[in-house]
Amino acid sequence: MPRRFHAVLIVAWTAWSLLGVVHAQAVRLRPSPTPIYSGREGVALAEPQGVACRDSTVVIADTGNARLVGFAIEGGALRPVSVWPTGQITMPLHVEIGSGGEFWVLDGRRLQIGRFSADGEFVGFLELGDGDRSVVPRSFRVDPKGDLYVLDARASRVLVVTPEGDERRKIASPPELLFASDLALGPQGTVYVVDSVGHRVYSASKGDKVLAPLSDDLSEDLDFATSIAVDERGNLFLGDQNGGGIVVLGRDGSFRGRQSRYGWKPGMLRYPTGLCVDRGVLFVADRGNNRVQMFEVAE
Amino acid sequence: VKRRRLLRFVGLAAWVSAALAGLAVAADNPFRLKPGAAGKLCLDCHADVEAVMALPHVHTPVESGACADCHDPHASSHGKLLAESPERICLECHDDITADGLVSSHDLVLAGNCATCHDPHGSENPSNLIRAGNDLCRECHAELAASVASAKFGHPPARDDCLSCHDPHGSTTARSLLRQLEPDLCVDCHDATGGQFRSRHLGYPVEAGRCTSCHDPHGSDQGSILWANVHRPVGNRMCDQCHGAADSQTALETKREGLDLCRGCHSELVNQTFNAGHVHWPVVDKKGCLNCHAPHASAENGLLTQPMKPLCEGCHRDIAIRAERSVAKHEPVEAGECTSCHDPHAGSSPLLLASSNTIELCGNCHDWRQHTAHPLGEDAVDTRNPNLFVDCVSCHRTHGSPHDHLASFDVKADLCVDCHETFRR
Repeated sequence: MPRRFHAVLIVAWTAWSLLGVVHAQAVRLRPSPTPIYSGREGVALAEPQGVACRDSTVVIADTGNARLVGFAIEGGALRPVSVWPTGQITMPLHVEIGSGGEFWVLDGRRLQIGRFSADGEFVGFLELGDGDRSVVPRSFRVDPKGDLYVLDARASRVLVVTPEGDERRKIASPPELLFASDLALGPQGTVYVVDSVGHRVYSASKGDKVLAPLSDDLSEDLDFATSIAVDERGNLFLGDQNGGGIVVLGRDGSFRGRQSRYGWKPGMLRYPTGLCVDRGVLFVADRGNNRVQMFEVAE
Repeated sequence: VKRRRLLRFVGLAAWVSAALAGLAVAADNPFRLKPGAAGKLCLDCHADVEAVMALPHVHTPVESGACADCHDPHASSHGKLLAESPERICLECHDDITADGLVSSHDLVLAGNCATCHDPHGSENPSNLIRAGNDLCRECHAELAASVASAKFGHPPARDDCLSCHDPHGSTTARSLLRQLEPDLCVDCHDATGGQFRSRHLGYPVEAGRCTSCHDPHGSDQGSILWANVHRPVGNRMCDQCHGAADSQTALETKREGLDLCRGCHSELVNQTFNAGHVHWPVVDKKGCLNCHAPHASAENGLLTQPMKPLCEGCHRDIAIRAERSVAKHEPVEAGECTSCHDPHAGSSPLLLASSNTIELCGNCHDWRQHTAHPLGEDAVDTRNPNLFVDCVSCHRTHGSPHDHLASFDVKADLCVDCHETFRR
């Protein structure tokens, strides 16, 4: 009996160790040799700052051209589908695809989030707070249920609101969080926030009222991260805007590698500002290179 | 039997105490000097120390001839045969100087450079200081001392004795080695209940505020020792432009928060900021303008809370590190003149550049037509990326680079062939 018990223990320990080794493996990003340089009508992207991806649809916030550029993923390849001018949103900084296929766009000039139908028709602006810039969206994400998670630069907090703007939840940030730039939603509903100045990732699980530090100080590994995305496995991707690279963290915030580097050629980055990940592909709004790049996530 | 046991016990106790006493003597006299030899023995050779002994202030071990408290008479790994490193030797006795819980501490103390201020043997001055009073502080803080001396409106304690306000070792209560927090430190001398004090401050309860938000404690050329740059409403004694009435419960609170308050007067700048498209995000947070600007007065132009270089580097430390490591130096970056290229409030380009065209921007200082014959501009497509044309940043990194000429790559091996790949060897 004790021998059998020992054997079970050894097998369990070995399996656990192997799992740990697998878990600690570095994540590799394989760049696509053909970045996205333009949309359907062939006009070059200009300083794109945001990219959204969901259910085989990719939408780029083509900031310099004040428009959204749409693609469909078919058989692993991108097919340009449409280009939508953003009309009264003259500085589209960030775009998200809603659960019903609609688009949500952050305007850098009005500092408001606008809603577009799946056909690209402008629907209206999301009313947040009591008006007069009491809430200043820095970034936002849409969860599968359609609720918006808004990173409020005014009060350094995350507001969870319905598509109508009704507040569902507030997540405060601790005083040591110096400057929150972007947020991401994990598969379990965890909210991740990147602190550009403090070089740290903070997180809040469902029900948490305050963000808590997840990662160590990452200042040795990144310069100034302004974007964050999380994949279905829980890997976190940080876009290092000033350093030109992507830092990968495990779901526990552990460092799992730095990929890409500052440069002009495909696979290299200059001032990456927006990230999204869908079905094992990381899309990066490579602002300084006027393009969007794709990286296959391989473990 | 009992008596024998008692004798044994007394004997043992005597032996133990003798041994302990011996150890104590050994600790006191580790070199087993003959009685009376301590100190005197050293002076046989080091006669110059005898002159020190005649000084009004002599370090206690020197006075008692305990030279071996600090020096090893035989050999040492440290200079001057010190028994410990120069940075540690004083702490052997004065370990309370670097007490835990200091809010601010003097760099010299932290580094253990005690001898910068104190003579370890003796001195004409109390505390064995190598110079008396403010003369000692002036040795390092020459620029500040000069401004204290030349200020049109002086602050007597700053002129007379730095130690009136500062603790030279460290402070457990306040920043800048201050002996107390503001305003307690100030109201020790300035009676805040006095009629003149109250009328000078228009009846506002400033004794609950921070005096140095308006006043330069080291003296100033401005009346009332205000900082060199004064916010106009403060200069015009119009506190109620931003604050509630002096007799209200909220007299020291502002009427509005952040940018909303400043917009009242600076509406043009605020409108420009929001129309630019890319806002500098700290402008729109709760603190707003006060992230960078002082609301009352400042030593810096533009009412900046500190010189521009440390102010910007407070958040953009990565840029500072790149510049520090850079082989070549970009003059505006070195000088901390960030606004030479960037608009600190907002810009039409994501990097808040004063011009989104870098050829135009760099051309403000550099005559690029003479600098290079390389094709530049919209007709010169970058071979690495069809969506870019060749401009200054195609080859240079403006804040710093590990290569000569602020080049993005090694100038001889990689820079040109990054585009002109057919010439790569």
